[in-house]
Amino acid sequence: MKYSTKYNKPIRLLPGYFKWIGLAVMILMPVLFLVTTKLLYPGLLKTQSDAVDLVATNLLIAGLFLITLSKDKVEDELIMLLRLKAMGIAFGIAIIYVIMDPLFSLIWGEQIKELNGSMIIMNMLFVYIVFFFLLKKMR
Amino acid sequence: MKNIIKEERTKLNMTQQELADAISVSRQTINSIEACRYTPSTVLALKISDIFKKPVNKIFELEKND
Repeated sequence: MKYSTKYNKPIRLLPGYFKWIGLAVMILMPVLFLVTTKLLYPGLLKTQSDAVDLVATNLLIAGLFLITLSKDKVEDELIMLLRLKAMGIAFGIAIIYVIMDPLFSLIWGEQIKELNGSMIIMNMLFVYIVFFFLLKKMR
Repeated sequence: MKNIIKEERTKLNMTQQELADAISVSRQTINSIEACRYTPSTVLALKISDIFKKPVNKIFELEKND
């Protein structure tokens, strides 16, 4: 008998407690970063505001990513299917957002600006987490 | 796809949680399978048939639109 293993291997995820680490990275780290920057280098927030924004955004993304990658209490095949569905929804919404954003700018008479990649990724991760949670509740 | 998991489980006096623990899935997964919201994989179906000591095609039955 041949054993099917190649595509049946479960996706490697981080242990469940990474959810809490992710939350800490997402909420505490940007706050700590902003507070320490303000205390140690007060001028930096004004002169290098873009760099400070970038670090805070990246910490948010890293936190959301850790939450996304952490295991559920029981990681079975239905949970894997829900993960896939939530990922599909997040991807679909991101595509709609990218297409519709310039149209809305035109409708409201605003200037069309280039979309920020970090913003799209952050939205995708956030939508994924929300829909994964909702799908789990509805299963 | 229809299934008789609930009936078989009741015969064995088993709770959803006990069945879930026996085949390493969550209680909600068993609930979804019983309510025909989710069709399990072959591996899971075989594990269930092993618990109930019945062939898979006696536990799961295809419907017209499957």
